[in-house]
Amino acid sequence: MSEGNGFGRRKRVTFRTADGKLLHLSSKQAYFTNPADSTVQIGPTVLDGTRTDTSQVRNLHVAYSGNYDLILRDFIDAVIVQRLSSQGGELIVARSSRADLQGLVLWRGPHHEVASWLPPVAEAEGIDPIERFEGLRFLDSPEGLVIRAAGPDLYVRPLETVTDIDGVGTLYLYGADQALAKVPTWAGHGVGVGELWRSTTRNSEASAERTLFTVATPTVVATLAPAPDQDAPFTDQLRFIDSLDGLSMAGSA
Amino acid sequence: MTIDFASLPILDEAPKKQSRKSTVRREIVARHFSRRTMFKALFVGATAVSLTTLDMVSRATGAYAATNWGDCPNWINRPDVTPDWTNCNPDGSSAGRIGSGYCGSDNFHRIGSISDGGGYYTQYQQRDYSCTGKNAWAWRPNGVGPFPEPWAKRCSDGRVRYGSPSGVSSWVNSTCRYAL
Repeated sequence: MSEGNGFGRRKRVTFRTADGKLLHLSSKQAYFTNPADSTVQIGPTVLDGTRTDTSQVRNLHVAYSGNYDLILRDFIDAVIVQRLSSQGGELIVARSSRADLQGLVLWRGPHHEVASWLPPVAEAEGIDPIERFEGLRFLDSPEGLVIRAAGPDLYVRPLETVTDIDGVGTLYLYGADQALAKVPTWAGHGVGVGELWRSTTRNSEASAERTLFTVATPTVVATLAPAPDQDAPFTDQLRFIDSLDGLSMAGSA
Repeated sequence: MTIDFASLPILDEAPKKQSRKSTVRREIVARHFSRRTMFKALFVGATAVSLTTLDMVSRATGAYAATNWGDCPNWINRPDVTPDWTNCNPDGSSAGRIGSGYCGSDNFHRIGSISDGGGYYTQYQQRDYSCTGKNAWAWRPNGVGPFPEPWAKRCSDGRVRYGSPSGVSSWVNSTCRYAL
């Protein structure tokens, strides 16, 4: 991921995912103008069956450094209750001045920050915000934030990396090893980087239909969600996909 | 324009006529799920990762269901889950904001942009992925306690970003919590 305001306008970008891999995107025509954010799952390497699996995982959100400032200031009217130096960055605990709004705990490095929401004050008794980052080491660089487990008992797994493509929509990116279930057994339409399918879903009878495009390469599966005001025949979205000449992930976790 | 929308293969509907197999999928399996890769993962002691990998292979053998909706899975009240259960938050460590204010008129996560007045606005998206490949799930009480049991609810994942006269945040995760 790259710094917020200085991201620039490029036809080729590289994001480093939380497990240390490098995610490359390039296009013959389109520009990548926005930074990426990602959701990362932390969990125990051995599930002993004594508690539900899902109750033992933590999901953290990684974005560029300063991303949450506007939210703290304008939307939860936050009061900073703790600010500590930690791992080359800062650990920040913020509570809302309103009892009904959630607080935040952040680790903020020079380039990126990791966030976890806290319950509203009334429900926060017994919850230690700093436990959210327990057992984790953060290695920040302009390309992205790598999260390492301090010991062998935890795993770090990026769930998704997301970036907006101006005028096109939102691109959700997954490592192919985590997203095989998104790839059908039948062939997609051949594109420069791999194969392409479309899908149309809706939540319920009351919901509007939503079209998604899935592009699979040997190392990355991407879902493109068109911007809400876009409709068939999705010319801008298909032109963007057609222009991709690089969509890959490399490196070991 | 080289790609025709209408003629694209559909992700969650097998072609009626016999069609070619996906070569990309075959390459993903060969690259990430070969016997050699699996043994390597096991030997480095990544037990949990390997189990996940096996799960992915078994689920992928059937036709992929792209629909995001339904009870995913139908989480029955479990006494061992933290009190944050009531927040659509099974693990007590939310990566996003939670509340009914994120729900649209269909009671799933809202999509689109809403002006909050005075130059403030909020933009909403539905997240592509959350609970075992879907982005909505239901929590239900089981009637056997501990009491009082939390109310039944559906949690639908999305993303939100905020704009104000001083700028716009990037997206953060959010969850629509709807009482069933």
